[in-house]
Amino acid sequence: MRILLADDQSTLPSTLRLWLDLLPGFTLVGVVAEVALLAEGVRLWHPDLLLFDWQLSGLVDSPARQRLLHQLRTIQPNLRIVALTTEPISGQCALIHHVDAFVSKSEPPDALALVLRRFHHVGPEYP
Amino acid sequence: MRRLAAWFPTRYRVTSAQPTLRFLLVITFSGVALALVALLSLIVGQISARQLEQDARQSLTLLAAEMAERMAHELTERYSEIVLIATTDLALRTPGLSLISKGVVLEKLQELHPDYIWIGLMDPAGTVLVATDNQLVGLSVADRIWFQAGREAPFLGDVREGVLLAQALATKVNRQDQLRLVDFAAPVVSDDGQLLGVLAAHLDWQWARRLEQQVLRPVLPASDVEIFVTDQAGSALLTPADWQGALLDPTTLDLAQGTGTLVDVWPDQRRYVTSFATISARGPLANLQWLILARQPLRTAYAPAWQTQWQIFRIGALFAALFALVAWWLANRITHQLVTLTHAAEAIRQGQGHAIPILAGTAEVATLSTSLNQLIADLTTATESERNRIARELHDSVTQTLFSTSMLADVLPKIWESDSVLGRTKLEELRLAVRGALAEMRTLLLELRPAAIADADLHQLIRQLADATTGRTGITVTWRIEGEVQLAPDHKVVIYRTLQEALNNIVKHAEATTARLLLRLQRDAIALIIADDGHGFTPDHVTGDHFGLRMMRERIQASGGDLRIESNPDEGTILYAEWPARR
Repeated sequence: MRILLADDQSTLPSTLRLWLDLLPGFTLVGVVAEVALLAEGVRLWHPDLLLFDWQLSGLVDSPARQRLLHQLRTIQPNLRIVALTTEPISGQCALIHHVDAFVSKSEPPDALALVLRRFHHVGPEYP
Repeated sequence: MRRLAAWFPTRYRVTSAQPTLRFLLVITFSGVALALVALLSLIVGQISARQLEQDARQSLTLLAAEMAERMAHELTERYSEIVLIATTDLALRTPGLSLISKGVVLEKLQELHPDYIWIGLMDPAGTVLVATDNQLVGLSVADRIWFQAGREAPFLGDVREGVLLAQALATKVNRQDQLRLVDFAAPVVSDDGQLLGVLAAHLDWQWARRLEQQVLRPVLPASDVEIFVTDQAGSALLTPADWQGALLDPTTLDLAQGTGTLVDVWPDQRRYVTSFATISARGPLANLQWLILARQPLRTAYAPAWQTQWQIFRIGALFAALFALVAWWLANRITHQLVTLTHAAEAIRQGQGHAIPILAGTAEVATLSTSLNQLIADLTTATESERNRIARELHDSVTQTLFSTSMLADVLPKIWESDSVLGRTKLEELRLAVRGALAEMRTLLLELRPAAIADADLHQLIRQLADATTGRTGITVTWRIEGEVQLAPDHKVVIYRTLQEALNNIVKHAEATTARLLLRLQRDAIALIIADDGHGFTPDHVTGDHFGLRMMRERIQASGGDLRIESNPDEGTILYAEWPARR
């Protein structure tokens, strides 16, 4: 499963890559640290799943986020989006925005692993 | 007021030392009312007392003058009567007429004026020929002054003691007091001018007592008004019955005025309103130098004033009590809504309430309740904003770092097994990240308590910022402080904020791998230099909406310093912040 990381934390990509190495079937294909480059990254790497930092720098407000996610689904219709967030309220918002799942960064990485495995077994939602 | 409030039940106090507004209002209103009443009654009492003193002076002056006038009038009448009878009565002027006929004249005269205690007709040698009640008949009065004067001309004598007559009249006049007499005498002369005898009469001094009673009759007994008759040497001629004491010294009076009044202390040490009048020394009264004194105790004269004053005070006190009740009702009405607001505010403070009720009793209370409500809403919003900001800071820093380090800790054992060199590298990354997270936490704690920045050690602050940046971003931050100058707290805060903003800019925009900080503390200047190896930028192209950079510059300039930026694309950036030394 091809994963694209959209997060502006500089130390996360290398760690995530090593971490994903321990999860069979997952590959980190790309990293995007800015909103402006995200659509281009999706076009370039054709990820199956997007790990999307809910507070990614460059997102001005909620409608902007909604537009961005709609655009990404247009580019990659079978793209699964997992929101990474720190606040429960943001998680609820993620559901409203029709993301596939959200994972709190305050939780242990096992929570993320659980979500990723679930999507890996289920397969693409939009064949 | 606090001491006073301590005597009242605690429900009238906010704390043991603070009286409630309601209590203060009631005490103030009733206190002021009572004070005004007391003042009013005092003023009225004083005004009344002055008026009464004037009235007493006038009425006593009138009394004294009336007494003097009556005495003068009656003495003159008696004198004229004796003269008229002596010069015109045929029975007395006819030598051959019997003594019985002459005695009838005398008896009639005494009957007409009972105040004559004795009337007699003497022959020219001084032997009493005939007299009322046949007293002293046959005795010689030739040596009496009144007889000797009466032989020559009509005579009115001063009051004197009647010793001889008292003995003769002992059976008729049964009195405890001394017999005093006023003598009248007139020669009885025939038509040819021959002296036939002397007509004399002794007026009993009780006559003066009768006049005194007549004069005092209209005066209320409770007024304690008394009348004295003295000679001008101060000897008492007529005093109130049963009176004992000393008289006022006449020299204190301005007798030349004839009448007068004064308030003075008498020998009994009491203060009296005293008026005086003298007998008009004219005609037959020329020999008389009598002084009439009318006095009234000042306390009695003022009594109506004090009574009025006390009545006003009692009525006023009643009104003050009523006023206190009204004040109590009014205070309750005024403070009711304030108390409601106070309780609501107190409940919010204790975490048991969320809003202030909007009250519409009065404009002020409505404004107050609305303002308080808005204030609390603003405070709540501000608190929530601050919490959100801190939460965002946590997300941007500590949570992100911990998420990453947690992931790294998960994979580190496997990495170590397969590649120990990579394992060591990742362990170092983990160490730096944890260290950075700790620094981030300390930085956040400083943000929660900004005043602590001024108290913190500058070395620690810079280390904290550097570690946090490295831990969060992996950018290597080196730093150095040169020199030792004690910085003012506000200057320290400015340097901290400048560093913080500069590192944030490097992380967000520079894409740098290293950053170097140098703080030069010299006596003549303070310099802060921040350099990075990022992609740089053209300072002239920085737009005005670059809020962080603008704030940094304004903060430095407000503290008396200056900011200079050197940067070019692909050549990194150097910030120079400089301050002149503070004296």
